[in-house]
Amino acid sequence: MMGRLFWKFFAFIWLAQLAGIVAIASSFWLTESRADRISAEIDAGPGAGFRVDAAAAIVRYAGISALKEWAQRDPGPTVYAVDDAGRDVLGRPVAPDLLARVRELQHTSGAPSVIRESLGADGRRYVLFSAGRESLARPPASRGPGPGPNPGGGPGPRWGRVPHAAPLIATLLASLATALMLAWYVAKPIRSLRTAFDAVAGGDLKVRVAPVIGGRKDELADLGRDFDRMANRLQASMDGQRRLLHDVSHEMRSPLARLQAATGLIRLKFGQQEPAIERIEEEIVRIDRLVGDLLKLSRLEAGELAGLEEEVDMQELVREVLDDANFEAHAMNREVIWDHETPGTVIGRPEMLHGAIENVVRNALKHAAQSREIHVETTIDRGHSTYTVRVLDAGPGVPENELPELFTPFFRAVDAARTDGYGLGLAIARRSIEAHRGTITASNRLEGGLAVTIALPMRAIMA
Amino acid sequence: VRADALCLRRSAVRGVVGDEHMTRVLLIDDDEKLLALLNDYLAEEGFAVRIENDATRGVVEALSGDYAIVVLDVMMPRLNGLDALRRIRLQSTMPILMLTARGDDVDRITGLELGADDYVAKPCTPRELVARIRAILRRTQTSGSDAVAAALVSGGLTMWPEQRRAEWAGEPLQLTSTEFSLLEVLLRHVGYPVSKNDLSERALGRPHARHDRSIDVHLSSIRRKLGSLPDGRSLIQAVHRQGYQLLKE
Repeated sequence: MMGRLFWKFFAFIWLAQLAGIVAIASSFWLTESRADRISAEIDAGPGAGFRVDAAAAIVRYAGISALKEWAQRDPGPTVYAVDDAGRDVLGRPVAPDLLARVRELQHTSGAPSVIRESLGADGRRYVLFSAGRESLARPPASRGPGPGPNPGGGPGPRWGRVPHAAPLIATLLASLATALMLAWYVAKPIRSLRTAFDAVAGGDLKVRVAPVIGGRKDELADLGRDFDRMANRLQASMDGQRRLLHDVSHEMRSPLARLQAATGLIRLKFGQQEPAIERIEEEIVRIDRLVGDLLKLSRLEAGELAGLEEEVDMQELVREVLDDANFEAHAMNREVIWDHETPGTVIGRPEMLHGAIENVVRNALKHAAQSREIHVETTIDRGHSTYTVRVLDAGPGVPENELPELFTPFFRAVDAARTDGYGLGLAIARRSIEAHRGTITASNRLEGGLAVTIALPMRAIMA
Repeated sequence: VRADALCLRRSAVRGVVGDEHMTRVLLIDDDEKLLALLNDYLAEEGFAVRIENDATRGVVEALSGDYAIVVLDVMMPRLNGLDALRRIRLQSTMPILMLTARGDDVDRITGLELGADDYVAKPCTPRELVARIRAILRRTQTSGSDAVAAALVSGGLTMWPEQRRAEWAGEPLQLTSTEFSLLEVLLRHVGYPVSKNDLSERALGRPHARHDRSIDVHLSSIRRKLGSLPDGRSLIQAVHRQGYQLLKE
């Protein structure tokens, strides 16, 4: 499929060509039709000059009667011989405007050779000219049905047009072909650039356009090479960042492991319930969790997925999450309520999905106002294509302008400074859900609080 | 195979005498400072520890047959920890506890597939580590306190739990200690499904964690060793939502 740009280019180029063709053709047509008009009145062709000359000689040397006889026998275009009174020798009607034109041309300096003046044997002056085609044959309508003899000069008008159709079609086809080629030539590299940009925007930094461009040398090719340079730099910096995050997290784990071993040893050797040691152990667990989350996020962003893909019973998975969450919630005198259980299957990695939904529920628990309920709603759309999980809390919600930021790492809503956490949970949730081609969105509820909606595509149920 | 059998017999022998002698543990990790701390901790807990920060030497040491268990860090540079695991498994079914990075499923699953008995995610508290070591050793050292050398039999499968010995269709089965324990639990409940949680509690000595595939990996390894029945089915069947079942013949 060609893109819109291609068709635009094609349309413009072709229109331009058509306009050119029309312009050139019409200028030809105009000049031709002027010649037509002249010849419709006065036959200006080379044959006409010859015939008028012959007629003039006949008038001069043989007299009018000889001309009459010649004119009646001759099958060629009619030659008129008009006397000063404006009458034709054969009594044929002559349009007055035609006659006026003949006289006018006759007196201009460069009189065409198709008009001759001749002194007849009878001593009268005659103007001789040949008039072709329609002018005399078809007298003006105002005159009524005059006895206009058909001069029958030249081929009819219809015959003259038909052979023009073939070159016209050929020209059209040629212009169509060149327009297509031109449009393709310009639109194709732009198209491949667009696909490449799409891929980069989608997180695939490995894509390059150089192979598509090949040896082409123009601004579009330069643009393509610039794109490749940009992608290279982006990839290098992203890889570097990812590696740094990964290395730092990894390197932090070794000292953490030593710390844990050391505190364990202290406990074992001195065997006392020292609150300071307990504090150290708690903090180690906290840091370890943070490092774990960072690693998880960096893996997700690198496209490494945890666990194996399988059929996931969403009803069971949500129930597991809520059972765990309620264990914690009850301790805080809160409760997570699942209003209507919805059976449904999704193809995915249960561990990632579990973690994602768990993070959203935990987030809701953290921000819910004291002793309020968290509601979870599950639905399946009519086409059985999407499993939706909505987590609704009655907390303070999030300012509208901060809603899109909610799923970025380390984001914390302004008034959430007191809560425990690093702001990685929802970022991990988003990455996990997106890895399943699903979406996760947040909105403020009319009745107050935040609603987080997770929509997961379901595979069509096999027969 | 002979070296293997030897190994088994030796560890069985040590199991009997192990009450007087300290259990020997081999720790292979590239973090020397951590090794020193764990060495102290395990010594306090009554283990005889040998530490090794080089995987190649560690493999040689492990295959010497002097140790009741190997604790192996699979994330070591140079000789990859997983490689070390593979090399030990080529010649021995001795208990191996691996240390993996927390959250790194790939290493964990690969390690289990290569025959590690269980894993501990690093960083872990030393208490956790000791608990895991003890759980594995408890299984391998179930000494014949009750002197009845009872054999468990079902069809072509025979197991002598006291001797940690198993036969399938008359051929000796080479099982790691976790595999042996899992198969034993299934055999004791032959014809009935056993839940993953029961299997985990009895064979690994820990409750089944959600999304933990350890049991599945171990069982698929046992299935591979057993081959399939004449009708093409596997002797061990997964029962949806109920766990695994050893088919009664």
